[in-house]
Amino acid sequence: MPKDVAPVLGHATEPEFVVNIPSSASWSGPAIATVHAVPAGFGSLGDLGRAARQGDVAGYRNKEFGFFERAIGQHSNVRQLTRLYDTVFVADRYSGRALTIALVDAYNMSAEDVRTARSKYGTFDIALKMSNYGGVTSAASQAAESMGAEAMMFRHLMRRLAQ
Amino acid sequence: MMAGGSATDWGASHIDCNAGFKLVGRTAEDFLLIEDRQGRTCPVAVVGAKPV
Repeated sequence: MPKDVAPVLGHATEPEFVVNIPSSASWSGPAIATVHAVPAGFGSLGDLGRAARQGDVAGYRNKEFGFFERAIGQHSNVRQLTRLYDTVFVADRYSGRALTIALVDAYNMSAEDVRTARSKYGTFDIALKMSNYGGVTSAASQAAESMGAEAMMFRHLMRRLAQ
Repeated sequence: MMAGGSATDWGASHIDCNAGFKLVGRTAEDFLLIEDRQGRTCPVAVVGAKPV
């Protein structure tokens, strides 16, 4: 769906940053790739503030997303990492089938967090808690299991990618 | 688009004075022109479609 961002990139003057509102709106992988190719940064107004403070608006990348992208992409059993949305990745593995991983930003991941991710992004294999603080509730694990998925912390993901 | 104005209007009205940049203008393409603390000016597009 780069079609939504294409109109603002089709001018002689190209933006150095694209803000999508509301801030909770998700970005598709193709839209992100299109914006990065300009090159330009993307994100919320909060991201724009961080980009301005860094002094590199066009080169801005969200640190949290970047961390997971690198960590998953550099796993020895991951052949290729594709970004479906800003917070959803598909890890194609050398051994084992591809895993779709949805990042969930919650202190204690609840069943509702898992269901919200499912409604927003569709099916996934793993609901991954972004923060190292807090935990994954048993209700979240059960909700994920009912969808044929798993809910886990980052430290468990590295092991899961190898299996 | 937002009720009562464009996405760009909405973005312009929600820039915090402590955001680390300030709004200094608008381009013919309807981009916001922001100035960071180093005095550098950048064009910023605001998109109201979702999901993007």
